[in-house]
Amino acid sequence: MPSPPMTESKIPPNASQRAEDIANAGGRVGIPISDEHAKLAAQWGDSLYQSANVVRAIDYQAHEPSNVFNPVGSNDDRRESNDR
Amino acid sequence: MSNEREQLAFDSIHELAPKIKDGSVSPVDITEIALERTAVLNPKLNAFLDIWHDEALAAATKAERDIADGQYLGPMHGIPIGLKDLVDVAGKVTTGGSKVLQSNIASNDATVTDRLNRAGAISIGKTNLVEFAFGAAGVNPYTGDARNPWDTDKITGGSSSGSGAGVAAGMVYGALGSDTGGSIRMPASLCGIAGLKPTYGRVPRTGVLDLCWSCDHVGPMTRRTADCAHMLNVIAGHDPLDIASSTRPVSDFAADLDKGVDGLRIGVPENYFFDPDIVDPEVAAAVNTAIELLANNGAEIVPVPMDWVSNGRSINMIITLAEATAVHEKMLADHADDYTPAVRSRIQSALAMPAVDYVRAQRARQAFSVSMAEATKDVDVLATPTVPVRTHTIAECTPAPGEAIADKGAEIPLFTSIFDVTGEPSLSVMCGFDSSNMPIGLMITGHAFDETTVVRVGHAYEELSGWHAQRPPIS
Repeated sequence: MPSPPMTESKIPPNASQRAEDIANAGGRVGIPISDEHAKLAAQWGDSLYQSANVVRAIDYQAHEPSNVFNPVGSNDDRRESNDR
Repeated sequence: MSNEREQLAFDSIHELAPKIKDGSVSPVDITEIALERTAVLNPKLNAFLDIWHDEALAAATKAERDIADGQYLGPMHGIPIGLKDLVDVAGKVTTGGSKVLQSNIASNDATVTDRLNRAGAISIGKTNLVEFAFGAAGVNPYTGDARNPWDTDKITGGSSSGSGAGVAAGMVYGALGSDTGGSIRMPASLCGIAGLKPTYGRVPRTGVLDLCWSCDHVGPMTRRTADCAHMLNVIAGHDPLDIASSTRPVSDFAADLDKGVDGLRIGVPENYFFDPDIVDPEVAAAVNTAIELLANNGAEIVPVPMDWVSNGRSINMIITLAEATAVHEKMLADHADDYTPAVRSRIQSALAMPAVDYVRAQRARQAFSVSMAEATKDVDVLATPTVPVRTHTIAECTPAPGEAIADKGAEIPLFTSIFDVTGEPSLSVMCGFDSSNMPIGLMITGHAFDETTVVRVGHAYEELSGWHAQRPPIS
């Protein structure tokens, strides 16, 4: 698994664009978000975009799992095949 | 409180259990001590949100009578404990530390509550937490901040803040915590106790409020590792009501406690966990001293390269935010104004995150877990710091008015969250003090479903170092 790139692979939106995106997304799922609260939510954007870019850069294709949504099953399988 | 009663308050479950069994220690006595200490200390520490004085004494009286009648149920019988206030107890409110759920009365016991009751444990109340368990520092402007018994101006760590403070202060012998990014191990580290996040799927979450379905773990917090093993023996095991619950058989996690570390291979990561740009030098020094002590007592220290390991924090963050937003979607629509601003804004921040980012993170998680298993296949456990930084003040970790994010605290889960991604069992034990007399934690992480080796190493370290016997300067 390679280390993540140190530069972002996608230019993040600025704070006001983030706030607008969050308010719009909230509206689509029935969660009204005022401008004031959207601005607060947008403050988390840096860490979120940074994490998303780290994840986008990970080379996971070599380990494509059969079911990505069953961590316990994965651990069970791994442990049974490599018990110590 | 007399010295004798204070000593009894700080005894371990491991030491008390045989005395309770033979009748030389009374469950009623130790429950009264727990309630007395809680009455005195809770106004200073805010560790408990709800205390069940009469019910606890009634349960202790029954336990004492049953034991006298020869119906001893095991090491948790007659032991006063606390339950993090996201664990259901029938007829009691489960608030999740939030105004949103201030009237949320549970109709049934959580599976872990039921198992502890059946084992004869005495639940004395609900412990404080970060709102909806979504935060690492431990602050909560709705319930009031839990305070660290080693310095009440300092954070406890979160999200199991009250469980950490209550156990460290000798209010209870053990408490339940939950861990999605480190919420058992971070407060264990900062409060100077033992906290064990079991393997994902080992302990059922039925009746426990969700934060992130694929990363949530429930586990014990106690003053020493052996007590974690005793609590885990009670709460572990398959529950068909939790779809993620493992069907793997449960063994006696305390079976190997006294085997020491001779011959064990302890991996020490070459990357990230000891990076001087990330880890405070006092934290690194204490953890390195702990590793040296293990080496001097027969463990083989094995350097383990893992230059990809920092990715784990990002994977955990994306998965947790996406799932938490889904968990809270309905409540946010109906009760947004009842959330505290920091938690509300954090959850809302993920609304605009593309779905594909979440799926990418789950796929990356699998690759990450395979890489971890391959890197650690020749060692028994990994030894690292639990928390990279020294303990911040509550003021430093409280967002200013009109702000969502505090000045400090984002670094706290950098290491713990990695093992919520892999789901491997991970324990924090106290390994010394920093120059401000605040505890430092050593994190011991094992292979999936091998909690037995993890607690074996933790117990051996405590026996060798004696750090677990330190008491905070609060009375």
